Amino acid sequence: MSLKTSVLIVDDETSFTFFVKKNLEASGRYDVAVCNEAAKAVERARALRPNLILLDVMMPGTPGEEIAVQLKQYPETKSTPIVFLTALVKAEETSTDPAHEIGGHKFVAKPVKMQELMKVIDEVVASPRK
Amino acid sequence: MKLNHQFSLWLLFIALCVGLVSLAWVQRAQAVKARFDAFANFTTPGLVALGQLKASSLQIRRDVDDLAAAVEAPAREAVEAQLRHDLARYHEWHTVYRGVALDAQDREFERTIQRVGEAWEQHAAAGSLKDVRGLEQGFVKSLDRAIGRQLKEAQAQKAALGRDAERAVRLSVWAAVILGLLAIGLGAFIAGTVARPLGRLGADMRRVGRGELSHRTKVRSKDEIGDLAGAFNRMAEDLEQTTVSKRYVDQIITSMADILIVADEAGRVQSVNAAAVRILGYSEQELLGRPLSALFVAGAVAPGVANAEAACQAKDGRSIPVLLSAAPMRGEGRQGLVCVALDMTDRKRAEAALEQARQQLAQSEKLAALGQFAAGVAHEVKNPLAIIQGGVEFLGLKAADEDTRQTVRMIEESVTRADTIIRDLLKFARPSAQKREAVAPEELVRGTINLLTYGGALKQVQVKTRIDAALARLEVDKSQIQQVLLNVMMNSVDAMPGGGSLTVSAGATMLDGGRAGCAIAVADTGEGIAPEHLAKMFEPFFTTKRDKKGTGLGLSVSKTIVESHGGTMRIASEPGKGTVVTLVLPATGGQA
Repeated sequence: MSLKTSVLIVDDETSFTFFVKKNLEASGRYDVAVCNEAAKAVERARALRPNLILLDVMMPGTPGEEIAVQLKQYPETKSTPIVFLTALVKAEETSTDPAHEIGGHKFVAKPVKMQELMKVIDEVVASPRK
Repeated sequence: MKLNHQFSLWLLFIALCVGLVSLAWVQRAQAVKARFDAFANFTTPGLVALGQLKASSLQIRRDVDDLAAAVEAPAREAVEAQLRHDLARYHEWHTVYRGVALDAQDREFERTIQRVGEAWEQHAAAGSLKDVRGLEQGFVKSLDRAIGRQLKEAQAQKAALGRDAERAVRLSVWAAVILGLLAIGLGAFIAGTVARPLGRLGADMRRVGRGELSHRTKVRSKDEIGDLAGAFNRMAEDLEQTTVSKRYVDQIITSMADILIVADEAGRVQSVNAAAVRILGYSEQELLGRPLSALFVAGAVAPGVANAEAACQAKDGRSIPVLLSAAPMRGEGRQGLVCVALDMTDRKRAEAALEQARQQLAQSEKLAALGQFAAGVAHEVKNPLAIIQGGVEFLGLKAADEDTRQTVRMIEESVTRADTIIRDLLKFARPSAQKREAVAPEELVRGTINLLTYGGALKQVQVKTRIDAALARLEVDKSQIQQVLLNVMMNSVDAMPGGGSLTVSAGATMLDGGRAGCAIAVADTGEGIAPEHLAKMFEPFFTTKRDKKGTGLGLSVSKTIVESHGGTMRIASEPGKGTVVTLVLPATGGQA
């Protein structure tokens, strides 16, 4: 059992996931798995059972919100915390207030500084499970 | 038979009777007069004749005495001559007596007179009176008796005449009284049944003549005057119904909402109606005689002008937009111009309000377009920015020298700056903050319909409303929701180019969360929406009116507005039959 926090990042932007993985792993505190296809996100999450999932909202095929709903349906992923990543298209997403949530989940607006991202991940993982 | 007719006949009959009675009285009076005449004829000449006969007898006796005394021949001749003269007189008066006296019918007395006369002649011839003296004395006595009889008879006649005269006088008095009463009765009758009703009828006729065409006479009777009054009332009825009276025309002109100005051939105001006085602010006196060109400051006032846009100058200097029609005056040899001006102030104001609403809508659409565009740009730009951010941070971790770390910081700052610009752009493109208030659904609907109606946007479309009066008020931004309704209704009007019916109904409903709300449905009878288009109706930039004026954002913006109020918006349509757009909005404090 690793002491690192395992994170699954789901985003169609391969360059983005590449740098997030590199940066998070560079801190030495995270194990990062990458999924660039929305359609495979649920399957990967069920298989990996990460401590947290970073989920892009706008993806071709299945939107992030729907994946979040699907994850709720499986016992192995239903209590996995999710942090949304978004390139902000909706009104509430323009807010930088970290208290804002999408469907009960924290979100982080792109572009995001890695220090901020890690802070949010740590907070969410540390918070009591719902 | 009518009363007056009957009465006239009765009156004629009574007059005939009175006439006959009068005739009888006249005859009677004539009889009295005849008797009086007879009495007068008898009394005077008869008595005179008897008196003369008596005097002649006495003279003859004296003559005979003189003859007996005369011895001398000449004296005797004179006496004889006198005697002959007196005898002649006697006969003469005897003749007169027989001619005039009724008593001459008394044969005995007549014979006495005759015998005395003859005896006088014999004795005169004999010249001796010895034998006739007794006879003569008897004769004079019988003459006296005759005179006495005559006088007595005259007394009786006089008394009878007096009685008859008295009766005639009495009858005349009665006749006068009866005729007088008849005259009074007739006068009263004529006054009561003819003169007074005729007077009232005359007064009523004068009132109708003065123009009180609704006035009717109350004269009611079953006679000819009643017939006349009835005929008059029917005439007044016909007159009122078929003739447009001056007063009626005056009332129409006074009640007209539009300005009416009649000008003479020189173009000077001759008469105006109440609306002209009210709208222009001048008194009637101030307007009369004023040239038309001073009142109509824009647009030509000429015969034949019809519904031309013009402007009136009010007394306070305001320019009042009007729709002007002018026609030459016809009839009665008058020349002039009849001008009718429709006050367009309210209409212009409504047009301006609609234009403003349209511009607001267009502005909202532009902002929404910008918002959509900005959102698209944001998504496309922020992902690369996120990659750059992640990339330079990774480079920063690996950087060994200060120059590289400096470069990484500068790139990071630029990423932050670009991100800030995009955030600001998105904030700018979002709809403005809502000012929510409690508004009655009916107010929202009517306000929007009024905008369309007065703005002239409805064209041939008929609008019906079915609004539940007991609906709860809505907690909405009034101008935003009216913008949505305006957008939906204008889509409906556009869908009915040949006219049709637009029905706006509002009723209570429940929102998805169980909250109380109101559903406002806008239904048209237009061309409908093709099924393949229906799903795209709320998509930004989708439009079927690209050739005209559509931006494709109206419904998208509307949906955003409705949803930002916590409501929903749906479209149902059947091609060729029409479309129903339904907004559901939450009611004030309507928690379930």
